[in-house]
Amino acid sequence: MNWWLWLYPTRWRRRYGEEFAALIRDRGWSIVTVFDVLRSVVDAWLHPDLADTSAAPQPAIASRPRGGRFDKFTQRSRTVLDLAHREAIQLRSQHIGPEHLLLGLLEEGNGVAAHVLMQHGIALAEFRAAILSRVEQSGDAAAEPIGLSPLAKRAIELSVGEANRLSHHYVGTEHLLLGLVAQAEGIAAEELRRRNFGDLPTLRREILHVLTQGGPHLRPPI
Amino acid sequence: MWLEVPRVVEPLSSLRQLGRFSEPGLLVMISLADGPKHGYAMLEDIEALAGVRLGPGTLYGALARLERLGLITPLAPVERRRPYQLTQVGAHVLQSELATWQNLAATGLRRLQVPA
Repeated sequence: MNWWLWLYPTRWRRRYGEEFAALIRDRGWSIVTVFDVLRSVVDAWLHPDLADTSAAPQPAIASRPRGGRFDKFTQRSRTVLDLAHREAIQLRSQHIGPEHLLLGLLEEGNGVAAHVLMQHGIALAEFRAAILSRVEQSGDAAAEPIGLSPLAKRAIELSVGEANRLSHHYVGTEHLLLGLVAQAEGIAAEELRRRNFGDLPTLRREILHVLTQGGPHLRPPI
Repeated sequence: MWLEVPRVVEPLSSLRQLGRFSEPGLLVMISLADGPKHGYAMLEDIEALAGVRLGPGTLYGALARLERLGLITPLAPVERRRPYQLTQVGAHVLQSELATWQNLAATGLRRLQVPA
């Protein structure tokens, strides 16, 4: 008898009820379990959005099969796109904007782009705080899967252009960074300029230098 | 809301944002690091690894939060038991979280003057 499942909100029960009941059946009841379950009932009522699976970042770009729009992206730049997606959700934005892409680059932390950014003293925590103070937050977390903003799309197109320009057959984090700088509008570009980091020709030279000479902490682009 | 909670500027790679679920969340992610598992397998694994007996309710509180953050993803259930898998972002977050703990542990041991 699973009458106790009816203590949970409907949406929670629909999403987790069956597997949760199977787990309890496998483990058996104890006094501790009773209290643990009661506590989780309260948690489920207090956080009804947790069972709302549509709000989870669904189409993870990094996990998408090869082929299509992101075909030429390295694994690392796919991870950057996923991290940007999560940043956007976390910051309650309506779209994935260039600023989230930049945060993704910083958070991924191992690519050529992060290397160059850190060389310029642009650190994740401080930069994230700067962006956070400037982005408009809507009241609630976005209920629907969110997509790239027009500016972010433009930045990504420019990244692909930068890769072509360098005759690279992949789009790595370095190209994403070049694309973000080339696309000179928006919070990300402004914040970068404010840190004297926005001159495209200089950045191209620097990146080529890193790619040919390697950096002290650089891992190979995968 | 009558209570304004200040927004903490915390990198996403920190599980601290999960509050009382951050430790169970970390244990779940470690348990999933070598492949997908369903709830029962996770609880057994976590008990063997860390000596921590998580309750089923606590486990599902952590699973729901990790799923919501896109760190784990549900797979198709097998005989009503649904396995969960670490996502690529999840693996990345776990790695940086563990590196943080490693640093912290090294510092603590150094301060105790215990050779690491």
